[in-house]
Amino acid sequence: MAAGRFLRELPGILLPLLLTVAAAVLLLRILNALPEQLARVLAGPPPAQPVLSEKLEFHSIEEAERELGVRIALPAYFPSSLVWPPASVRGQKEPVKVVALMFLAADGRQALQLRELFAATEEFPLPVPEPAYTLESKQLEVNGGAARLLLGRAQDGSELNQLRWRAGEVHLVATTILPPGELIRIAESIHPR
Amino acid sequence: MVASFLEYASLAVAYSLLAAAVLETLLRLWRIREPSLALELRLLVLALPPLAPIIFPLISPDWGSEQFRRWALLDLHHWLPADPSRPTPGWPLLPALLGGTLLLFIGLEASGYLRRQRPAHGAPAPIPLPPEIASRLKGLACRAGCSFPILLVDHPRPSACTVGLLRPTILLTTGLLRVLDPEELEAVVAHEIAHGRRRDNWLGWLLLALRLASLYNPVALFAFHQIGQDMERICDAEAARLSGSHLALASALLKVHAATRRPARHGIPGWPGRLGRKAMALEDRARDALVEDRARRLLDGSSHAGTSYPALRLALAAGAVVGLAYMVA
Repeated sequence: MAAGRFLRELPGILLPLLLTVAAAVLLLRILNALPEQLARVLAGPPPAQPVLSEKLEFHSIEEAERELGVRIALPAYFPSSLVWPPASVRGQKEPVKVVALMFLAADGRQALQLRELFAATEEFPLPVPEPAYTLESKQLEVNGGAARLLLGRAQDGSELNQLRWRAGEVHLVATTILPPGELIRIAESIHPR
Repeated sequence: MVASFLEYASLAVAYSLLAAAVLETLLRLWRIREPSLALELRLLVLALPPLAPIIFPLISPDWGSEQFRRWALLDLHHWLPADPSRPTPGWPLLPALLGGTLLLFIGLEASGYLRRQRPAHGAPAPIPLPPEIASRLKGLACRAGCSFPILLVDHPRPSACTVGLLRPTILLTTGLLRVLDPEELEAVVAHEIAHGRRRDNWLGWLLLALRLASLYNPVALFAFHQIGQDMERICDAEAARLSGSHLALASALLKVHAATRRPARHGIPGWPGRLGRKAMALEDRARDALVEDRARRLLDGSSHAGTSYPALRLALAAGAVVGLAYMVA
């Protein structure tokens, strides 16, 4: 009799308790997350990450120099397998001045891309893409300054090497299908003024 | 030192708020009208803040550590980090909370002291009770099985109270005798006998000490008031049983309330006019609501309505509150 009454009343005791505890748990979780969400709303949207857009297109190196107000450093050593002048001269003004020269091989393939980023910073001012697959990374010197050589592959599996270094207030990135020795030789022949 | 106090104060307020929210919700969902169970549940609101920081580290030594906070339901460091120089929403709120609590304390506590009418030359001397009243009250005391002294003092305000810790004494005023008929007076004295038998004066002093120690905690201040009201409701139920007339007690309550209610335009002595009047009106409204509730409970008989399985409900509610509080650090 008493047990029957107890069993009849038990749901009426337990159900409100479970509902209340569940609501309290939910409320506590919301309160826990609220300060972070409030801080995010008060701070506004995060500042846009600077990106390498290279939206501007120039007809010549001289025009790029004029428009951007920079002196573009060119390699004194230029392998005969490459075609002069560059097939494209692109660049950007903001947030950092950048020039990208694309040189083709005699057979029309893209053979060397030389990027120059004008910023007096220790680190690279913008993220510059690396080869799709980096097989080896080496630290070396170019004209007495630290440089990083990345030996890798392009998306299609062909050889693609990259050298990154800094010369004064210019950060340089040379990406090429040429062997590393040629790449280093080209790099050492560039002297920004 | 200050940072530690602020951390403890914020934790204490969070625990009181959590306990009050959960327990008040349960009181309504379970439809608990029994004031003794409500009082026991509400004592948790006061007991949790001082006990939890002592007990929880004993249950789990890493309670409150950074690792624990990662999976806690609420980490108060998100609101009030240990380093106050970090801008978070909690720090601007804290002075507002402390200031608001101070105002609340003044409004709830200090205004009562300011307003209380004190005799010009100390406490009035007791005078003998009329013989027919004395004999009636003696019969009541015999039925209740107690022998508390009952003293009459000459004062126009209708009032009854129980004083004294070791030997409770019931004080009645001549104003009360003038307002109430003998049956109502008996019910009022039965109410005071109930206070004396329950040793409510001891609990009152304990609550006062806790109240002073919880000055910073607005939730605790409200809990004190609710517990005070629960004590009155418990004594109403016991008085109705002792005197055998819940209608007489309800009638006495309403008569005394009507006789002691002053127009709000009088304001509170020492307070600026308009603010004093508003504060007084608010307090009067709260008193009206309390008296109305007590009278209604007596009239509909719910003042002594029991709740099924009170111990089980108390244990479950306490377990839920302590379990939830454990997950707040």
